[in-house]
Amino acid sequence: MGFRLQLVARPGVTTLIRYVGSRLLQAIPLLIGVVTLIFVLLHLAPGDPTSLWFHPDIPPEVMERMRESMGLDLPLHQQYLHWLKSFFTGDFGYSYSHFRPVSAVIGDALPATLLLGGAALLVAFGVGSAVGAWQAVRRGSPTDSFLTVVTLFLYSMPGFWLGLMLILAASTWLAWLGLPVSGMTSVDHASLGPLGRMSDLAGHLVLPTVALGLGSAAGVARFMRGEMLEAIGQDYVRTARAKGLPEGVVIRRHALRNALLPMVSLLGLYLPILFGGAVVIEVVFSWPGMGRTMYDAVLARDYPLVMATSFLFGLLVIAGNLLADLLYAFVDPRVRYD
Amino acid sequence: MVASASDFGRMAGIPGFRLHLPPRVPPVSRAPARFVFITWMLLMLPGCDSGPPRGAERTPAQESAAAEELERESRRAYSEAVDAADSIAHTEVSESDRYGGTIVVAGRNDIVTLNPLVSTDMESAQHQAYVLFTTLVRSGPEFEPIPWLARDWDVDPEGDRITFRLRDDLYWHDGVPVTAADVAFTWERVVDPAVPFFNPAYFDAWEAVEVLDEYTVRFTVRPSSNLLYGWAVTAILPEHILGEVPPSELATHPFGTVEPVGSGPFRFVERIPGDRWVFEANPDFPEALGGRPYADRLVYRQIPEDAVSEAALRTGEVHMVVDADPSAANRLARDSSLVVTSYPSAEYSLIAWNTRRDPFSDPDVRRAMTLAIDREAIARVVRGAYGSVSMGPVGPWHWAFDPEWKPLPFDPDSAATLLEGAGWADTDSDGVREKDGIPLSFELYSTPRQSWRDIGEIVQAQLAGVGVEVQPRTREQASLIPLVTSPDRRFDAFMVGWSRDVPLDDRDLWACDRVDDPMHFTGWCLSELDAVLDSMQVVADRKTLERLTHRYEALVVDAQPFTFLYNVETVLARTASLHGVEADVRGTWASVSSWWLDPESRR
Amino acid sequence: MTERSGIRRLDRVLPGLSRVYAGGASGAIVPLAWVSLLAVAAWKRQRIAQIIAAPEADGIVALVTMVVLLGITWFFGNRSSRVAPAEGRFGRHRGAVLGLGLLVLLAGAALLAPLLAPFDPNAIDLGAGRLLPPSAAHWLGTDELGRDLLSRTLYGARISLLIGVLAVAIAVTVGTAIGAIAGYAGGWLDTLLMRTVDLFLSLPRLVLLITAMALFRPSLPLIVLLLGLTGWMGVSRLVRGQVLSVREREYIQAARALGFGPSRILGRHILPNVATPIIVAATLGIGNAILAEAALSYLGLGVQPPIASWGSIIQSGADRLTDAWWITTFPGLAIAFTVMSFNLVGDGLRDSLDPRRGE
Repeated sequence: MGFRLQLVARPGVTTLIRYVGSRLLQAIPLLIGVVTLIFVLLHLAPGDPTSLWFHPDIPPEVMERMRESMGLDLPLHQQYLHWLKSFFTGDFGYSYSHFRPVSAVIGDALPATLLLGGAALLVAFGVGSAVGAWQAVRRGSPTDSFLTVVTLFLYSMPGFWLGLMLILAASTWLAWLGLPVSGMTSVDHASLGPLGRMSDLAGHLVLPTVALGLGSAAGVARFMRGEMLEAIGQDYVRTARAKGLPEGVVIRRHALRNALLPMVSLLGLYLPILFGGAVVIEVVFSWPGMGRTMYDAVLARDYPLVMATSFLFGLLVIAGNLLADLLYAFVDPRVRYD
Repeated sequence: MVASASDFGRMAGIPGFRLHLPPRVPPVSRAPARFVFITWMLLMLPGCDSGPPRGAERTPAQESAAAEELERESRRAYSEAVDAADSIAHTEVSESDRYGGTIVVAGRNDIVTLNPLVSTDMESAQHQAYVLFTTLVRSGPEFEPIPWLARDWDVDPEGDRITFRLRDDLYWHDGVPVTAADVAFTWERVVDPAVPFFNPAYFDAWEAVEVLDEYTVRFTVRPSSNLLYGWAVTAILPEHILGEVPPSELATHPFGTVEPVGSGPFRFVERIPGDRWVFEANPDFPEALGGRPYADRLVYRQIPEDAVSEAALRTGEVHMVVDADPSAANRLARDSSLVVTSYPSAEYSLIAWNTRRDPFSDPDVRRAMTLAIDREAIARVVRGAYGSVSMGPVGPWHWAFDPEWKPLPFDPDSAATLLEGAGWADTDSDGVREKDGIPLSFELYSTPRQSWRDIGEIVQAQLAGVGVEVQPRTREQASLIPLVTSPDRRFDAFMVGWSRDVPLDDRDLWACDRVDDPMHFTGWCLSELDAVLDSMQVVADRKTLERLTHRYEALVVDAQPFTFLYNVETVLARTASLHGVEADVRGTWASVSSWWLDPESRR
Repeated sequence: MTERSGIRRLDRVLPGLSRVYAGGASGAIVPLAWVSLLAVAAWKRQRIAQIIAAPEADGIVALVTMVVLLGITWFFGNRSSRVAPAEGRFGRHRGAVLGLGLLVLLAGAALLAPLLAPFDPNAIDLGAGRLLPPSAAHWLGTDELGRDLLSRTLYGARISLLIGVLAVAIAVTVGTAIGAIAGYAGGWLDTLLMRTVDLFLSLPRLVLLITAMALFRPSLPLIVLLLGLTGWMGVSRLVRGQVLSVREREYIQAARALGFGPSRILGRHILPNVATPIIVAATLGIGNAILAEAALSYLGLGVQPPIASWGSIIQSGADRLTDAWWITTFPGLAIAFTVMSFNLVGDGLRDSLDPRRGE
């Protein structure tokens, strides 16, 4: 991470707006590219939405009628232009596999994914940086070595497999914990009070969050340990020590703060990784989020829904990158600490 | 569509026939596995057909088969014990104490819509017919129509008009009475070309409708062998809500997903897509149709992962898992707080051979394939004790099924002889037979579900034993379907599972004049079979129909355009606190009104 | 020198021993491999005799592999014991040595699977042999078709490693080419190529994979190709950055002044100087490719039966998680340990190849 050597003047608000604006403008052709490519691939792939209704007793005429009602009988370029036009007017189309407007399907799935992704992000960075910092302070101790091995192992584990192992544990020798292993809410969720609902939701969040966040937490811990070690070795820390400041203060006020700065930019980079990883985790835990929705939609050839979810995925990646760059630019240790 | 519901046919066929049964809840008995619930759906998982094939003799040599028999026996004993325990509970808890509580049922698939005009899956169809809506008639034990919304009906002397008299005490959940206009409206939409109703063939013989008064409706019909069957599986829709909606927009109307209004024993409360449907008891449901259901609320939850639904069952999060994994059944049954039962379903699995291409153009090769595949073992691996070898195109639960029928045995030696006879011999000793220099090797397609992968690998290993090379190939459903339905049919063989219907109209699979239709996978046809199938659609006499059906089975089994793999028995796993579940081939939810929870386990 | 040559005589007994003495802890790997190979040969002597008596393709391949491996070990063991600085740094990296050791064991096990596997990995037993828990006969138990899981996991190692290595080879080739061209050419070409990278990064990989798998006949090469073609973007960004940083160095300018063409400058002068981060990225990438293949197989979109990768074995056990935990557990552990080894080695390489780091 060489960016600490970068000298970036703190930009004013107008500069910031101009910068973000130009980045967003650049993002537009990119997003159009994403949806176009997905559109072409999807329509090239064999099968169409009527695959859902495949059965020997459904007459071919009915299938043909369905295709017409979905506009699938039009030439491909017309379908594309039609889709693009309605997309720009804010109409995402109608989902054939959910029998609901795409916007409604996404409206349900997006909060679920944001919740899971947010919780996993919190775990990844909270646990990850705490463990990493702790390791750095105790560098070389047996605990440090042990944690190094553990974090590396967690980091190398397939997330979906960890999820399956958690389900196995929660339904056998950890059954006494009563942790829910599926879905987002309990059956009696609606009848609970506000506090009950929150704890219910939290209970359902535990396992998928761990499955999704633990691997990232291990990655963050490894990164944090390195940053922290580097910070501890810096001159200003030595100076602080030489001034006779208590070790705890040195670590917290000087080393930790400096080590945390690069973490901020890591945050933006982890966003797409977490949401990408959420696809399989959501399938494993039946979490009603975007990942599972997208996966099911591709299998069902639910074109409008795949297009919309792909668009949002691309948007997320771009937003994550932008966020990372912005934080990157803003977090300059010289400005703050010199 | 032919066959099963002979009584439906008889009604249309016999002038002046009039059925007068006291309106009551149809008995749903578990013992005779002959009811049929018909749903058209491709269940790509090897699914659920029925119980032990009647009259099938097991080869005593096969110890595994004996073990299976033992397992069946112990299952029978177990299920009797469950019944006994259940009846004790029934006597200990008084009728009035059974009301209340929320019953949660879990299934693998989401119910995407409750709009009967567009849904095609089993769970939707059952919720439409038994939970949220009512149907005009219901199916009885021998597929005879039983009065339901229609109090009674008569057929005029010419046999071309049928008049239904409706109940006057049934209301839509918004308080509007259910009337003859609703029935007429439903029929008009179902046969409307602008509405993609999945099986308009149910109403092929129905030609015109006339509303005589608020509770009387008359249809003009043609003779048909399953005249009333469509009315037993098609929910009546509210005209006062949907009447103004253009037919072409009905499929995408939010009625089915956001605000369904029904007339059945349960009312719609809420739906969280991809997660659950919540229903509450309808206190105004007529006593004569069963009255208010016992449960206060009924919840359907989608849980795609079997391991997850099992865990949810153990924690009491759900009370019943529909179509539970058979491999989990024994384990679940050991838990004293759980009860595992099963019922024959209409589903079966098969391998379809493309007879347009070599080597499967030769019936001897197809027969050899079937003989060389140990279908008992496949049924055991995939379905445990909850499946049986499928013998032909008619399910063993079907009244027209030939009880004398025996499946082709597992006999690799005969298979080898057949292949030798057909000119396939291993001349270069590479373990694979050849003919004219072409090796006997083919691709076997299926979807990537684990059970299909298992079957593919078993078939591969067993056919290797007779010198045939199999390359299992998996493709997701959406790309497998175009492969097998497109006109060029570039495949050798594929595996699939689906449900049979009560009316046996399989002309789209076999008829010579439909060889180029998408569903004519095999390309095999026979003029004698065409004649048989055609007669089966119009003959109403049960004896004749039975004879025709037996002929149909014999012709198909002889030519083996399909290798029939196994029938499925649906496994229901529930907590011991849930009572009154009596499911049969008509489906899990047929008895939903009488499900009840132990008072102490209610939440 | 006499002392050293005396030590080197030890190599005749156990190749590589002198290197352990010379301080390269990584040298321990050579004797380790030597001992393991001989142990396997002794342990499986009956199987070897059987193969020699009745030759069969798989067995012959394994035997030849064994001999080749012994030869390689001998060669490395008898090489000069001078330890290069980078190798020394690597050798002092305990984790990296551990990772390399694990990888050598793993690769050996995969290559020698026909010798090591106690059973035919595809031999099904539909009778009493199904779903047996781990035991003396079946160390890792059996699956739903009665196949021995240890044998399947060993053979699965071949598929998973093969997919990982080849996919990364494709990704590195494509990524390096695009990154180098973009970095060297600059201008509109750079912009265009980097926009393409952004585009690919913004595409949901799963949608790409599912649709592409549907478009073509599913096969092992297709999976390798798809994983490779959806995984090159990181490498190209990395390479572009590196190329940009060396492009204006004096020796490049000199080469340019001498009139060498861009391809020669890129291939002869620039790429060798940016090879280090590429090697590190490739090592770490193999782990990621194995993880990606596992996830793909878990969703049922991976290799075709009866070939089994670790991911597809996990998938086959996912439905029976609670009554046959061993099917899912062991291949998952295999993946975790393999990916961990690649990560360890990757870290070690990064630290030892970059002179500024790791001391």
